[in-house]
Amino acid sequence: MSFLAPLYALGLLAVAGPILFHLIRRRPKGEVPFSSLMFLSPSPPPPARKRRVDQLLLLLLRSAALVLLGVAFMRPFLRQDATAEAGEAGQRVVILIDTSASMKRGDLWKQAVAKADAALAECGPTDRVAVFAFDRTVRPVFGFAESDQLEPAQRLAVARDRVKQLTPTWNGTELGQALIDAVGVILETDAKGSRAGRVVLVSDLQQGAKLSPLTGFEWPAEVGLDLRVVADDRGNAGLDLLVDRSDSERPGEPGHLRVRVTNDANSRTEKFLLAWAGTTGADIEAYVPPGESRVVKVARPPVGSTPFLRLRGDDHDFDNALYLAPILREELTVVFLGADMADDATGLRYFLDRAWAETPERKVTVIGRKPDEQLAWEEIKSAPLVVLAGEPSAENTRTLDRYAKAGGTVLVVLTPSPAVEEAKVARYAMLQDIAFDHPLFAPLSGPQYGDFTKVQFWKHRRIKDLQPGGRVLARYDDGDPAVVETPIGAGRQIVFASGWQPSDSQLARSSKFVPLMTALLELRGGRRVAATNYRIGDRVPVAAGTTAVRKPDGSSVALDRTATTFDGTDQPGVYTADTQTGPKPFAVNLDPSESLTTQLPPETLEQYGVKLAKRESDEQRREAERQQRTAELERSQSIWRWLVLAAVFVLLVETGLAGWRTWSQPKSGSAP
Amino acid sequence: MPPPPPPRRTSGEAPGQAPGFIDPAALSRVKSLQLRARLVVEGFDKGIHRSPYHGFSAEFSEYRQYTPGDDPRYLDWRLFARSDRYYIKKFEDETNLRCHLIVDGSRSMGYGSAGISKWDYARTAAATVAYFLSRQRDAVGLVTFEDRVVEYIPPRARPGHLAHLMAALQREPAGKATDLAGPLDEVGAATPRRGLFVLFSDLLVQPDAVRSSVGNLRAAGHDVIVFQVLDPQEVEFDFDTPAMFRDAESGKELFIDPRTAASEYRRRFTTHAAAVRQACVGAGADFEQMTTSRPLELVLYDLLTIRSKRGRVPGRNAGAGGAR
Repeated sequence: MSFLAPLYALGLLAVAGPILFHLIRRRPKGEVPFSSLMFLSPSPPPPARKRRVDQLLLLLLRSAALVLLGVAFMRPFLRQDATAEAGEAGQRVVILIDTSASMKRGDLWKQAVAKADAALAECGPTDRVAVFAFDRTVRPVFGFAESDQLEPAQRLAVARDRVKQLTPTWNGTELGQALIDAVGVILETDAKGSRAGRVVLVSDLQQGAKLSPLTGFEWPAEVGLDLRVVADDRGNAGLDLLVDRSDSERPGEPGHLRVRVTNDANSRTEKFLLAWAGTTGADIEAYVPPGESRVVKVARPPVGSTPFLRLRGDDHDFDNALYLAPILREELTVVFLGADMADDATGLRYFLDRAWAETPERKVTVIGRKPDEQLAWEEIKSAPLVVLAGEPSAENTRTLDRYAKAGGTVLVVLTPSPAVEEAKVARYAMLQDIAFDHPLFAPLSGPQYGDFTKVQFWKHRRIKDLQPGGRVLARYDDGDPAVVETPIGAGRQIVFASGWQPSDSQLARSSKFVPLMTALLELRGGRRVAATNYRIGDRVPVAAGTTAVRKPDGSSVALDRTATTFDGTDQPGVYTADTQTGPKPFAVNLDPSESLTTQLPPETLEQYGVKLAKRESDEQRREAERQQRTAELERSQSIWRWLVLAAVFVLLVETGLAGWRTWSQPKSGSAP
Repeated sequence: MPPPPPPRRTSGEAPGQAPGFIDPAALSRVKSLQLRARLVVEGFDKGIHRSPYHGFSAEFSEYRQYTPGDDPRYLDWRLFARSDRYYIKKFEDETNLRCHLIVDGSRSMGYGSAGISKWDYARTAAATVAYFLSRQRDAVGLVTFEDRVVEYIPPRARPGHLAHLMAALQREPAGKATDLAGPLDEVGAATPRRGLFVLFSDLLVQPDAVRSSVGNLRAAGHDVIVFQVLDPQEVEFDFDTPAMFRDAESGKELFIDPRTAASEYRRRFTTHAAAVRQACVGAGADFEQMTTSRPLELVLYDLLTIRSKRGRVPGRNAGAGGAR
């Protein structure tokens, strides 16, 4: 029997307590308050013969309870099991190598490889070693499973070789998540040996590393973090585009970009030059004191070109370019086949002209044609939408059919004519059963947008029979179909049973009109990818039907036609998505937090609860491991629980016995 | 040590023997201190003439040659013009008798075996004296103390001041240990003008402490009257059963068998009482011992007797404060 906390044996001295209490004479019961005892001396105590142990059993029980409690506090365990089980289990070591973009600075990467090599060499033959690389994500380089299969010498060589093959990427630094994952790998590996482990972090520990996931993480006591920091004491400045261009620009105005220039705290320069690479414009000077940031207004580059904004004057090049997707303006033509004039405020055409406002990305022109006027195929071939309001000629009908089969959208607005039955509307009709899952109504599917009760229809026509494959997208509240879609070839025909002009309904003047018309326009070409400022690793939405994305280095990634996002943004630059309506460029830039290269003090990690491992000698380590094994053994045996239970039992017996004696005494005394 | 003088006997010492006096225990059931005081004083008035009111303004007394350190405000410049010498004008004190009532509020004063605690008795006595003196426009102040001064109300003769004193006496003390020297020295230091100090305390402290603190007051020129308030049990100690006796101030407990301890107690107590009396008298103060069963009117009677012996009857206030 051994004890984990033998010092608690001093607690056994408490056994003297009950014995003393038994022997000390009992106090007189009465107590008299008196003003002052200064004239009184204590009366002599009662005769000594009265002091003797008269409740031997009770005394023994009380002492036994105290002894049991004292021994329980000493945490006893059986040693013979301990020696049998104490195999020479080594530590588990995870080497985490930072491959984020900031590691591209100077000779940081060389230093990092050297430190990783050193860490590998320090591992003992019984240690289990794994190597992971991390930036935005954590990637296994050399796993525990592989490591276990190799001899220690072989293992070292393979791991070194793998580390040599690594290169820093352009990604940001998710240090917090990487540490959590590494700890998870150590703890979950298996139950063999002790749970103790060590994470060796080889990193530049830059300020921009994201540690926030650690806030909700409880760092286990048995895992230590061994920091191997690589450092480059030169300063660095970075660029960040502040607002998406479409927010800050108006059509026709010369746009400015707002660019934030950040300068490192340990930087020695504060004057930087900004210029569009590949253009002849003058340099823009930016003064940024070390440790601060300034927002600089930069004139936009000429339309159509794909230059990038370059920063000069700092020591490190990796984050000095800011890419910007060129604005490729969509020029769309919508054909209106109908009798309405463009300036007739009571007609359909008048509202159509105003439905699509001009933006830097898109300009929509509406061409008006009479329904019976000859429609040229070339004219409508690439149009995203043809609106038909009236009876077309037979030839035009054929042209429209061909257009629809080629993927076009024909919007048929039913107008009063002898061939169409006019519905009887009591006062007004409203829309119901709206198919919000359809792309036409999908933009309005949110609960705050889907209220159509304010759009009242004074008149509508009846759509009698649905063509095969047709789908009713909305109905009036009298049950008649209001919007019907019929697929034709690759395209579709959409029928509105009522017009949007004021004589038919309130649709044109409601907030639903512009989203509906824009959705109609996008039925053919899909939604345009907004050319915003993406970051490395961001998921970029792409239009349906995009076949491939060309990367800045010239390589191309083929995409499934149904893909809606592109995930391969792994380098900064301008990417191009090949969509049905032509190439759509988008820009991807470095995570601006990578530019914050000031080194974090290790205390920051400790503030997040990370337990930094102390470099200790082998002897100390073995001693610590031995103690830990003992503690684990004691925990698994838990003899103290039985001792506490026994103490409780003894106390219960003592209470019962004392109660019985008190109860029985007066009874026996009262019998004469 | 000489045997202590026998306690002064008056015709009404025991309530049973003197139906004319009010039993203190019965009086303690009257809640308002002011009412208690009025009852006592009115009972007392039945056999004494009312004192005439006296008001004094600044009255010229004498000249004294100026010595450096004197207040130059009192230089007589006219005399200087005539005689080319500096003289100080001395005035009679402006006020009537300035009386400080000092009441011990320590925890030992809370003891009471005869229906009234020593504290209650002492504060009723103080209230009575205050009421009596304020009726003749004398300035009365109050000090209650435990181990330090708890309440200090300087002597005033203005209307409403009495109610203020009564309210202060009405407050129950927190009850701590007794320290006579500190509070008395403190009060003496705060009172530059000479006056009358009336101390109500059980004086259960070392006689040396009494001697030094009373002596200090006397040395400063004050008149001091000490009333030692005791409980009859403290004097007689006629308990009968052995018990744990708890000290009211220190909380210390002792096992006492009265059958064996009583005689020793009485001997030590009597010695102490004599020593305290000797300490007071030796220092030039007047001393009276009383138990809480003694009618309160007699306190007033004692006070007047003592003052008349000294020729300074508070009722016939002839410049009691003395000259400046």
